[in-house]
Amino acid sequence: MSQAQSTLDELISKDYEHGFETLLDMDVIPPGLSEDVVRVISAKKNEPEWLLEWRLAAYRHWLTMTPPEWASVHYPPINYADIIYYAAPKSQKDGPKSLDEVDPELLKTYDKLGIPLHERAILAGIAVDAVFDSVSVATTFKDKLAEVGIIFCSFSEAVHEHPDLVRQYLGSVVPVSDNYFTALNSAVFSDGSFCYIPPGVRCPMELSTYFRINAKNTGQFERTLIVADAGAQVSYLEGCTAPMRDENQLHAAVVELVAMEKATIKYSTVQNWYPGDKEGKGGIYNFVTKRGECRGDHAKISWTQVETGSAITWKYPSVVLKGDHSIGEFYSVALTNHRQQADTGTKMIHIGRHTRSTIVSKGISAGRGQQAYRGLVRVAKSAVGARNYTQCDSLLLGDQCQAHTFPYIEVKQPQATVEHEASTSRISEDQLFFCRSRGLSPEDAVSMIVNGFCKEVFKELPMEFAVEAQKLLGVSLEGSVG
Amino acid sequence: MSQAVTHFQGEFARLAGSLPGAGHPVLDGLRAAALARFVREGLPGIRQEDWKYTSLASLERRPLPVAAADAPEMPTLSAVVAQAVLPDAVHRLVFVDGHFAPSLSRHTLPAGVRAGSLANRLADQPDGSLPFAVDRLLAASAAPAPTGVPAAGSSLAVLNLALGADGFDLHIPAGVVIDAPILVLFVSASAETTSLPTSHIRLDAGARATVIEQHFTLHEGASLTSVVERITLAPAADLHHIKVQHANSKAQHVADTEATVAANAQLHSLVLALGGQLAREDLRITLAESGAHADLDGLYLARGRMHLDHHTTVHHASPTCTSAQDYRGILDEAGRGVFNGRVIVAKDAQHTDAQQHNANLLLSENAEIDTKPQLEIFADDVKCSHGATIGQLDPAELFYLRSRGLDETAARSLVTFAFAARALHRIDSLSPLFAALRTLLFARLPGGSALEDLTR
Repeated sequence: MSQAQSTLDELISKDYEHGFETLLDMDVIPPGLSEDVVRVISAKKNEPEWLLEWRLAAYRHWLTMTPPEWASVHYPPINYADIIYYAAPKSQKDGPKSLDEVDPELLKTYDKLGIPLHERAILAGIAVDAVFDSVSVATTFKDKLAEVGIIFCSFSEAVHEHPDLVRQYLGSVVPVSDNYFTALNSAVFSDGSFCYIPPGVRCPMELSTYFRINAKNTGQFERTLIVADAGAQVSYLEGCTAPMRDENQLHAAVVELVAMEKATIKYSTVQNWYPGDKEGKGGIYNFVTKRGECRGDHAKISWTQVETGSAITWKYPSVVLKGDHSIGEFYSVALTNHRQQADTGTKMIHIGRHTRSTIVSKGISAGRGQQAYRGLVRVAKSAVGARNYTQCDSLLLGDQCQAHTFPYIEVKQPQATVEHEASTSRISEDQLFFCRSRGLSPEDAVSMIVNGFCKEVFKELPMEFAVEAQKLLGVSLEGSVG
Repeated sequence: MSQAVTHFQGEFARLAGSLPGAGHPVLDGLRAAALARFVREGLPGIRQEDWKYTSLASLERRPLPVAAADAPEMPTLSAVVAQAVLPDAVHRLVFVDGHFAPSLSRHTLPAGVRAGSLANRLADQPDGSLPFAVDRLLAASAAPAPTGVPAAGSSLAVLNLALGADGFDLHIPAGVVIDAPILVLFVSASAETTSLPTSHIRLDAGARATVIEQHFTLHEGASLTSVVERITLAPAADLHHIKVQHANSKAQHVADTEATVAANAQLHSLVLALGGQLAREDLRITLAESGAHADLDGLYLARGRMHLDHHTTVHHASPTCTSAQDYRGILDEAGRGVFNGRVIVAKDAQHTDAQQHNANLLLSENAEIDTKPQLEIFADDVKCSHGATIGQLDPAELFYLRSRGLDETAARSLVTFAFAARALHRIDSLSPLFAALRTLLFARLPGGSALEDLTR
């Protein structure tokens, strides 16, 4: 046991790999938030009047709200006046026209992170929109996507080039006043990704956004909006990292997905923001609102997330199932180690007839990690024949961690079937002993058991992400095996 | 100030002087403090997480006066016994509108066992250990409970401390085993009244007993019964606690039950909620020492416009405790069910085994169920699981019964009854109690009368 404990400990305590900072010439506005700051951000991005008004309305609404306190996470109050709301790598005149013009320091950063920005992108076959601090720095494969009619660009670009589409869908899934952080995001969001897949088009490659917080004391507030028109299909990947710092940084993003009739959106996230050090100093506050709406019949939205980073995660990717026979899925692996806290889960709102949803949530708590699954399955009266299956399991590694489950189930339709299952356990001595007797080292044994525990979720990830996720889990767990 | 607060302040002014033990400084102080908490907090509202799905608005709009000790219409013995699940019970204690009715009660419990009225005890020995679990109620009014500890009673439950005059008092000394069930009947005889019985059950080391508590109305009007109950089980004690509630469809029933289970003691709880326009049961069990065990079975059967709410909390405070929970709901017509089951495993409660299950049958377009099985775990070497299901009658089961010649109605009610009867699995199916409970269920299940014929 003690030997196994020490290997577990080693496994848990491996350091954060992406903790470097890139020194760049930055365009930064002073910290603090006011209407003027909102105007400055809007002006810097040359935004049309309607968007500025939209931002100001969001800001005024935000002032009337109070931060949510219901989640089982604990942190000192955030001083919103200390945050820098806009930081961008300084653009050369009109900004980069091609990858060659992008600051080489920046490209090096992405190289370090293993993002296939350059030619490597062709090999990997992934179109990437990379968001560095507040602005989108490069979007690859744009032309190739344009051939089939797909719009994939930064949010700022979309505002200028496709204002009608943006105006039609922006805030239509996640209203400005949805919660404290969406109101804040709507007021000060700086950039993000926009994607529109026209009717009947199957996106020929995986789309991807890569988020990085680099500058100090900044908050990152990006928005992602993906619209899949009738019969369209798209798979979207999202990754995130940040440098190691002693201060907490706020990341409050909004992701909106719209799936029309027979459209399919698959959204995968590997979230590896800096989690803070072993004592819980520093790290990212990841307060994110993600929601998808199946507007048409037979639409499908699938969320897959691997959450290993962030000091605090507060995130509930949800699906509103409006269209008949639409499908919502949520697959999640969340790992909390050291003093990380995560309150995560999903909401499945069944409105259409014969709508189906599946929730598989795997939580792993190690060290002093705190974790809560918080979910809602609501079946409205109109959702005849709705079906939900929920499974949420927790694995506990170490005697100081916590695992909580708060599933809300509300059913108003007698022809609905809802099942919920949850279990909490730890890796037993017997399991470890068995693996070791077959010649596996304690680390390999634990890693194998943990991977087996998460297998149902990993198999939903696109291949290249699945490999990364497994590695990430190994890294994040280093030093926690017992 | 809210209407309910003004109302109960008035009731306090009217009744405080006549409560048992009044004039005793400690008791007076506690009652005043309890009222102060109610005045401060008012009735629980739907903005509170624990009351999210259950609104006490009707109680707020129309609070009812507290029932007097001598009911104007004292029910006859035969009227009461006719409703009892065990008409021939040798130990029968009857409370009318929350006050002990000696003329309707009888028992042959051995010497040393105290069973009767809490009011007598308060009036006789107000200096003795106060039977109310006042400390926690008051502590909760002073400061919120620390995280991970189940919150003490709601602001409604403190009314029992402020205004409650009587209740059931049971103390079984060490090693005494009572074989025959003790039947305690809580009868609401006067419409338009509030009853506030406070019960206290204590079993000393190794004692064993079965207590059947039955709550019903003998009128067709509105009434509120708010029960506070505290159960203490010493090491190796064993209590079967069965509660049956079948009030009329205008009555409201609210209960706040708290039990502490010591080493190797066992609590077997069964709650049947079959009546009431609104019924809310809070059941909090603390497994305080190692080896303690609790099993909780429950059945709620909502029809008409009934609203039945069950909140359970099982707090595993020590290592090697076990608990098993199975609550079942049948929601028909415009009935609404709420289930919130909370299992808390404290930091050092290793080797905990906690199971929880909640199954629901939705039988009608207008029925609704809101369920939330909750796990909060602060230890690592534990085995905890919970499950919740919501569904309909299985067509294959119905088809099988139809193929054996049962008509649609009988088949449906038989499958529904089988679902409900799982809650009674700890009761000997040949006992008179089982037969009585089955009759109560038949009378309330859709198509139950057809089943009644089948069993003859």
